[in-house]
Amino acid sequence: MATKDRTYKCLNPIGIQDPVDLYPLAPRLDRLNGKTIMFNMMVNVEQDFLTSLEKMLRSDYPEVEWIFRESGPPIPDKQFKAADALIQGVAF
Amino acid sequence: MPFAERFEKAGKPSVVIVFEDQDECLKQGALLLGIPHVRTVYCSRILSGVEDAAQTIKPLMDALVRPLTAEEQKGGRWEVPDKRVLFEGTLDEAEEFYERAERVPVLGNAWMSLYTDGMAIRIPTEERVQAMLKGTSHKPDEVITLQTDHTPREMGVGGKKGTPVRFEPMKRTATVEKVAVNGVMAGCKPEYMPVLLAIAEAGGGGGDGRGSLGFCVSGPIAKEIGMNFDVGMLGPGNQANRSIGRAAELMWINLGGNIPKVTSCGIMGNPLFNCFPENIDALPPGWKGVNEEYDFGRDESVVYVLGMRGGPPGSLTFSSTEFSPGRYRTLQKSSTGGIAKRLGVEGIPGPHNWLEYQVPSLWAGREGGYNFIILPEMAQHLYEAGFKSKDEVYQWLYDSSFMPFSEYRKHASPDFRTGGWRGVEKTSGKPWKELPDDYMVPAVDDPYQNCIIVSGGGEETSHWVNGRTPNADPAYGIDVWR
Repeated sequence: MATKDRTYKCLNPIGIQDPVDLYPLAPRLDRLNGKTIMFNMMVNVEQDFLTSLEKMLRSDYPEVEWIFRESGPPIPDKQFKAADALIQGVAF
Repeated sequence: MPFAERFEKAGKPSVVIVFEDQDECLKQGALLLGIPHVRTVYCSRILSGVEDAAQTIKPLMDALVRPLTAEEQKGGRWEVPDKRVLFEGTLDEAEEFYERAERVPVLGNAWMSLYTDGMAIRIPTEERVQAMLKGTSHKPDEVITLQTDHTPREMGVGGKKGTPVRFEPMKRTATVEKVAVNGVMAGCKPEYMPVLLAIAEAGGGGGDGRGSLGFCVSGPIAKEIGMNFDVGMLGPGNQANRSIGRAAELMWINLGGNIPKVTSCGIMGNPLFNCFPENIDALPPGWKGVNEEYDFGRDESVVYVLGMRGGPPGSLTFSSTEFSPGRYRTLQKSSTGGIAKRLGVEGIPGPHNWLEYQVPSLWAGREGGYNFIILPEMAQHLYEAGFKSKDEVYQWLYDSSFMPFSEYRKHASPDFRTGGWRGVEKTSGKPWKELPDDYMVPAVDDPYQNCIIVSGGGEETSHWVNGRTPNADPAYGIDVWR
């Protein structure tokens, strides 16, 4: 058989992907009033954006208890338990 | 993202603020964390902070209360089967198969190759891969693991000896055989396998998706496999330099799953293609090789990883001086010309410390150390100018990086963490806000952020790229992979 007609087994260069268990999204909040929302944002992003966002969230949603924290260090268990929801910033 | 994962898996809603152009990458990361439906809200790259915050707030709060869709309530399991034999057919058919590409909508519908770097490859037949595996004593089904303890590089792999290497950005693992497959595709020879496996141990051709890496081989294996140390070592023509560099990129694509703007958020990409060697035989007396800097012997070989992603991630390559034609030699031979004027050594016999000429440009727009590629002749001049070790050069570079706080404050990045100089200055231990304008601040955190690689040839120039993290461990032994 000519080389060009011979068939070859050709191997796979792709890495091995571990299976991942997929979770549905958590149920949404039934209301905002009285809820505690954590705002977790890298403080090194644009300061005018962050400062404005924090100010507006506090003034537009006074019924919410806000926890503003710097992203990076692990969230302490006490803060995690207190929070009903999370706003996470990853843009930078 | 791990914070959103923690909330969602605990039954608490989350929403993530992201740039629209990075949304696809974020979704890939969310998939790996098991929360593929995570809700996102886009912020702007161009609106003012006030305008951006105003347009962001309502969608953010809506994302926390809007009822879930049927799709968002789905769970399940994501599995990607791993087939050892990917294709069976003639070589012509295999070429067509491996060189397929698909359009990527977020890249303006540009074509991206599925298995290659966009160029033709050598088909990884079982026979060719078996031949490649003769270049190592390691078994084909051995999972690539760390061969020694490694302090993590910035955004790179690290951990205890035996830890499986996770190839970024998709955090896949790989076997020795899969590294050989990529080596065949890149055009490597079997004797390159120990280098390829050390590069694989280092995480392959790229980190977490924010840019690709550069690789330097330090130690005797570079000569054993015929690498080019001289003119054109970063250019085409030498099979080892080029194909090892290409194999590293294929590892990033295939082992790591890198697809620009889909799984990685780089910028321009990195045009450095070649792996290049250090010329250990050309080091001035008393100067350590890169292998020795990391406690290997001079007779041991290592791969040294250059973080090409620093600064503007994913867009770096070497900067260089404009010393030619002959201006450098004018300095060293006759102590005349512009360089001699700047150095204040007109008429004073050399050799002179030519690095001094570069100092104003090194920290004009950034901070941190550098990896320098220095020609043997120019390294010898530094030695004759008084630097009897690399350490002395590193210290000199550190000392030369000091500038008044009034100037340092005008830089873009030093106040990265607080955005308002609310931290503490390292050398004084005092709050930044208490320092006078004329307080001298180093632009380099540590002398060992700098690294010198003596190599190359031809016209006298100096090349440099972002430096290293002093306490990290970017050197990976090659001999253990023989």
